[in-house]
Formats: sequence, C-alpha cells, structure tokens
Amino acid sequence: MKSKGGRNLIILGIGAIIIACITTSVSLLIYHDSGDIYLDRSRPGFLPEKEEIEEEPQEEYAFPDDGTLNKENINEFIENFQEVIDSIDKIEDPFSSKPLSDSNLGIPAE
Amino acid sequence: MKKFLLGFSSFLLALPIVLPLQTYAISESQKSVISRYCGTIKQSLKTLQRTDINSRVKLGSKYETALTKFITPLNLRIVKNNLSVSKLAELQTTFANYKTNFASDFTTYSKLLEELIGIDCQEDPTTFYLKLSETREARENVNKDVNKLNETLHEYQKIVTKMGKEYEK
Repeated sequence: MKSKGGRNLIILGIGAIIIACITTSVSLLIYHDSGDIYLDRSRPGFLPEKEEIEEEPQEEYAFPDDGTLNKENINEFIENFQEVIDSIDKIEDPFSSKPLSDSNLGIPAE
Repeated sequence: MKKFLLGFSSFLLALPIVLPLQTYAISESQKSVISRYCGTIKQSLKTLQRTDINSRVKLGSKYETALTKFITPLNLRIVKNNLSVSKLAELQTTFANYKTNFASDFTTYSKLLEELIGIDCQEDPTTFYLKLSETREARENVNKDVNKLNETLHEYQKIVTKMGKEYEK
C-alpha cells in the first residue's frame, strides 16, 4: 500500500494480532500452571457422560450465621451437615493406590 | 583436609544419581511387558485421569459447601452468641488448610499423570516406570489429604452433636 493511512492500518492490524497472541499465551500459561486445566471438564474427552450428570438441588441449604442457638437449629445443622458428610463418604476410596498398582496395570512383579 | 572435603563433596554430588536408580529399578520382564502393552496401559491411565477429575470436582465442591455453608456460619453464630468456639475454630482452620493442600497436591499429581501419559512407553519403558513411581507417590499424598479432610469433618460433627446434647438437658 502506498498511502500512509494504508500502511498505518497494516501496522495496526499486525500489532493487534501480536498483542492478542501474547495475551492468549499468558492466559494459557496461567491456566496451565494454576492447575485449573486439571479441573476443566469442558475439555474434549473430559465431558461428563449423561449418567455422571447429577441434578443439583434448586436451592442448596446454608446454615444461617445470624440468630440465637437452640436445640432446634443445632439439630437442623446436624441433620443437613450429615447429608454432606454422607455424600462425601459415598465416594469409595478416592485416590487409592490400587489403580496405579503394577497388578492393575498388568505389569509383572520384579 | 582439602582432600577430605573434595572427596566428601564428590560423594554428596554422586548421591542424587545413585539413589533414584536403586529405588526405582525395573526388571527386563517389566520393561518387556510395558513396551508390549503400552497402548492398553495408557488407555487405563486416560480412563483413570477422567475418573480422578470427576472425583476431584465432586469432593472439592462438597468440601467447599461444608466449609462455607456449615462450618464457617456455625462458628460465626456461636461467637455472636458469646459462646466458646476454640476447638471448632481450630477445626475450621485445620480443615481450610487441608483443603488448600488437597488442591495443590491434586495439581501436582495431575501434572505428573499427564506427563506419564505423554511418555512413549513402547520406546522408553524405563522412563515410563520411573515416572509411574513418582505419580504413585503424588497420588498417595492426595489420598492422605482426603482422609485428613474426612476425619476433620467427622470430628467437627462429633463436637457439634455433643454440643446439641447439652442443649437438650
């Protein structure tokens, strides 16, 4: 392009692309290093199956931090807290050593 | 004296090279099996990676709920009612610290697992097995964190239940 305006437009375009590449690279680096990539279930191959999708309750219970304390509200706390503990205990032996053991991977003992 | 220092420092420098080889020695039969069944092993690891993310997200969300919707508000309410909360506050801090360790250890483990899956075990079964050993240790740390978190929750529940019985008197 021979006009000054045309040349400036090209420089602007190239500059915008370079800035976009730099900011995208920095974002991806932060995404990877922070560990968020390992929690991202929207990645190809990590999308949850239909049976894995649990319906979350419309309103999740939260114990109010205001008010008096009496037998009723403590029992209410205990009951709802127990539900959370039970749902955690239902997850059988998370991160056990078995899946990575030699026998599970088919690697013979020495 | 100089000779002694030179000899001792050489010994210290050699240690990191010698020790790992002794800890993670791999036999020829293991190398052969890893090389032959590399594809199958990797497929198992990829399935495990997926399952682990699922567990991590579920557990992380439950722990977050326990801390922000139960433990913290109850402790705050106890304080607002001018009651003693020392043991419960201690458990809240402990739980929050264990939760942070869990997140950090899981990230370390996931990185190692991803690196493990990236190794060509058909060409280099030794490096694969070394990395597998490292990944196992990292996974064990995550397992310990989960156990500590669950124990803390149970302990908290026990103390609150005891407190509830005091109100029934």
